[in-house]
Amino acid sequence: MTAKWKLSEIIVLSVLAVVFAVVYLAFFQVGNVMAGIMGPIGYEWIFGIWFIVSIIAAYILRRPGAAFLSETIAGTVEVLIGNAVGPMLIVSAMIQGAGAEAVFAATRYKRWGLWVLMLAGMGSSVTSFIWGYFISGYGALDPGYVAMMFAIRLASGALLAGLLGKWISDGLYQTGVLNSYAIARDKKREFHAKAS
Amino acid sequence: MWLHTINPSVKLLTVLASVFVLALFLDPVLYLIFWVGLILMTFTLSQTSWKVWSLLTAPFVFMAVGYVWTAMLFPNESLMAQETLIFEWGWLRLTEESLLRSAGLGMRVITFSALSLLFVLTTKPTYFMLSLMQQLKLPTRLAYGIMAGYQFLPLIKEEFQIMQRAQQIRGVGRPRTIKERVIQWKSFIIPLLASAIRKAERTAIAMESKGFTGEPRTHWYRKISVGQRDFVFIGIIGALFLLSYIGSSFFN
Amino acid sequence: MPKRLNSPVISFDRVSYRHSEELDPVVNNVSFAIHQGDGVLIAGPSGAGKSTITMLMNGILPANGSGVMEGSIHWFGTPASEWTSGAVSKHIGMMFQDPESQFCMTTVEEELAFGLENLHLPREEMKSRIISSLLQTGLAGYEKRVIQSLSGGQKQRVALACLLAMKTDILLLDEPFANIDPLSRLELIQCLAQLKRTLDLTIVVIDHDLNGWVEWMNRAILLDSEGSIQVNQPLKEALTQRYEVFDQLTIDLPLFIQLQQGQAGLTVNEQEWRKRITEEQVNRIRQKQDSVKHEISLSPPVIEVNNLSYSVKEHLILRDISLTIREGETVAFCGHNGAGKSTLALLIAGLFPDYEGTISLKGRPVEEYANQEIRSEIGYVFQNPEHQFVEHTVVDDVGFGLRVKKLDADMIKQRVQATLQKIGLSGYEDRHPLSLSQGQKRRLSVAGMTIDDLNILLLDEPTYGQDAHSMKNLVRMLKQRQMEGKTTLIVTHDMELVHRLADRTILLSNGEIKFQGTADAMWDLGEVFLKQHGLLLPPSVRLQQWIGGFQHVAAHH
Repeated sequence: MTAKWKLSEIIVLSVLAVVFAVVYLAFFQVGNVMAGIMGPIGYEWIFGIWFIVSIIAAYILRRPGAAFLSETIAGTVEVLIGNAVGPMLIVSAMIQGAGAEAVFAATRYKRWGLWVLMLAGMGSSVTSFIWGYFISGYGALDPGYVAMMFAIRLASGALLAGLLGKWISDGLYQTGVLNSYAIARDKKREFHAKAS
Repeated sequence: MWLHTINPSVKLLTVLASVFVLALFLDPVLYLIFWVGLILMTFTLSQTSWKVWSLLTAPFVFMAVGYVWTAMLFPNESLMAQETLIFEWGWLRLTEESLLRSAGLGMRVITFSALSLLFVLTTKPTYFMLSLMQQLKLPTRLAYGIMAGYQFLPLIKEEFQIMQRAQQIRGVGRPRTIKERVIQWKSFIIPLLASAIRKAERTAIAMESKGFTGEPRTHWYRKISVGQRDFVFIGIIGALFLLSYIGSSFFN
Repeated sequence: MPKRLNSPVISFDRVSYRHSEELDPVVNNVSFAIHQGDGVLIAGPSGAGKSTITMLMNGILPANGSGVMEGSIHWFGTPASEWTSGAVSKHIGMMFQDPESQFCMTTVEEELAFGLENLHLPREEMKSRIISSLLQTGLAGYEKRVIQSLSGGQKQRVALACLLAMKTDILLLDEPFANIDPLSRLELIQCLAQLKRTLDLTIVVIDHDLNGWVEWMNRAILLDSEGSIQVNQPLKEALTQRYEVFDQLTIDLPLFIQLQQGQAGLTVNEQEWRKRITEEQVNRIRQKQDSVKHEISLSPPVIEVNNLSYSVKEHLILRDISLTIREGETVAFCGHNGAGKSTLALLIAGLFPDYEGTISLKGRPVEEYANQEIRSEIGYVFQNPEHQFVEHTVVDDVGFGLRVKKLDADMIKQRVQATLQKIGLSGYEDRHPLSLSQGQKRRLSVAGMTIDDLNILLLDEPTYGQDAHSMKNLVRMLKQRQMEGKTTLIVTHDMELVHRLADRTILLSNGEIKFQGTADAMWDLGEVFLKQHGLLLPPSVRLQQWIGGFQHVAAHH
């Protein structure tokens, strides 16, 4: 998958994952408090934040696999740091990453507008929910309640992953550190297209 | 220290397989026996400290409680038609089976966390990555790329602390509204990411300048092998599962 | 292996490189050859394409960049195109500027093994090479240490050990000591000089500070800001014939070389020079001494610290510190890495509340100040400017302090414009602070702190990673403050800066004050004393002391 990548792209992917692994762990604490009060639905509101690295990495690098790998690495790093969700987190991360990846693949990695990013966030919501249904046994819960959980997760994926992810990446682009990546190439092209 | 010497890939796959198998059941007794077994393993076969273990388990207990009461308040009604009602108050109905399912959901969270800690607390990150390359054939470019990123962790933490101080000194107040909080969050995350990306680029150059091309290695300085003890480990986990399964069927 | 005998190890023939098609070249029509056993110094101002040249030299560019190269490069007589990817890196090892980001493994041993595995060596060979290279770099016993817990100087030693273990024919050092303290720099240069002698290494060094190098490097290549070669000749010859070029390109030369400017029989050996020093040179050194004289200030105290102790997690960082800073003074806090200088500065700025003892600011305990109040008294400039930007455009960031004070919008606008003008950043208003150059970032970070006319300014290692030009700017700004009667505290191990600016110095070592007094009084304690605390004498003072001693001896005879 990464045979064509430059080493610098792989390491950039990996540091993005490291930074967000830390963010993820912080939100895990937030989620725990909310879940303790509201039950599993407490997690749903902030679930989207856990997909954000796939959106950011894919949006910056624009390569097949970026969404899937970044999320997987973030999960792995969380395990390396010593999160008690442990190895399962790697599997969950792969499944989440695959959801976003599928949406980007459907555009053949050609479209990077806000809607696509939000859809990708929702893609992660879908795959992660199916997985959660199995592993956390949502079957034992009231279907109406489960449907509500799903709706909240979809919204969270669109906003906290898609919208917030784009906002952060665009902010990062302003700092000039992304000048040698695909995001800059495309943005320059857009700029020239508009100018002419 | 025995658990530390188990091959990390074997340990990983065993833990994952256990999770998959356990997820097929929703039986609090089975989980309980398995959980007790895991605890015995953790503390007899490694020098894990009680304190650390409890501290890491605590959030999951919290989470499990959330699951239990949600499952009691919002049960799947369609499952409950034929079941023995033990309690009814207003719209709240509890059957013996639904109570067991709730307890099962809670116990499952706790068992999974014990299984995870068995891995997390007894596996060195470097050995884990080396094993992923040596046993599971993870491409070296990816594996060393992850290792390189992982080395930045302390640096990122340190930078975050310095930035917190700097913001305080520049007179950035505590955020009051959610909007302020998000904006402040952005003013941290962007410089952190920018600096991390620059470091990543430099590290990539440094690695390439050491002749790293990603071609497979012919010799490993530290060979991570699979041996007898790894099969013993799989055996112990398998036996524990059988024991839990038989034990729970007695109870039912 | 495509290696030919007797040909240059690296040769460039009319090489140009641009980062992308539409940009001007950063390396401009450059030709030179480096031979086995050479010691080559490459110097030039920032933006001269020095780093690009090093990366071209070991084949990282153009292969891994998005730029365009013209001309041809040969390694060991074989054109670059005939080398397979990554093969040349095994012959040419590199050491980089940032000690933080050149490692991918956790421990010293693992990092060394990473390079050796790339060479496909058998395990026994790896083991013996790791042991011997750690011995050569003075790191024996460091095998299991976590790299990120080491100091900057030690990290650079690890980087050097990696190269030695890989037995690369050529060492390429890209400003390897820009970010480490002067004593570690000196020790590493001495280590390199010895290794070069014993192992007959070929060494190529990029540095804008030639102190420590001139004695044992044999060739100089000077680049101008357009990326063209200005000088390419034996070092001694270049210093004799083309001295003005070194000056124009703001390259720091050792003082004893500066004193020999224009002299025919120039020597690059300091000991030899000392033997035949001229009367005129002695006088010039004396004059330098007279130009810096500081008087003890008797103005009212602004900061008073009494019996201050501070610990983090039961680990004592500062022990029983007492000091007084008077209004209008410029005071330097110096000491080795981890001596507690920065912590002391942060405590004075009111950042850490849990200390023992007292810290008072203008007669009032620092903890009694409200956060907003203390911010209008004390400014703090962090070591790395990037850490203290809080806004996403230059104009917002520089005006941030004024907006916090809720000043009138028009007034803010005016002062911001005036400040940007002063620091040469007009026209950059809408840029993100992080997209500026290193020198611009430093100026912006200082401006953001000084725009609201603070009376007390603390600066943490302000010369870190700065080139000669931004250094000059900084010194000018600090002198200006001195004249305006403002108080400045500088945390630094740059002794030349202390010598030029500080009225007083406070020397910290392992959390305790070892010396308080004028800089001159500290120099009088001698280099041996300073080295114990990880510091060096400023070069000019070292010469002055030597002349003093030399005159003293001469008088006796």
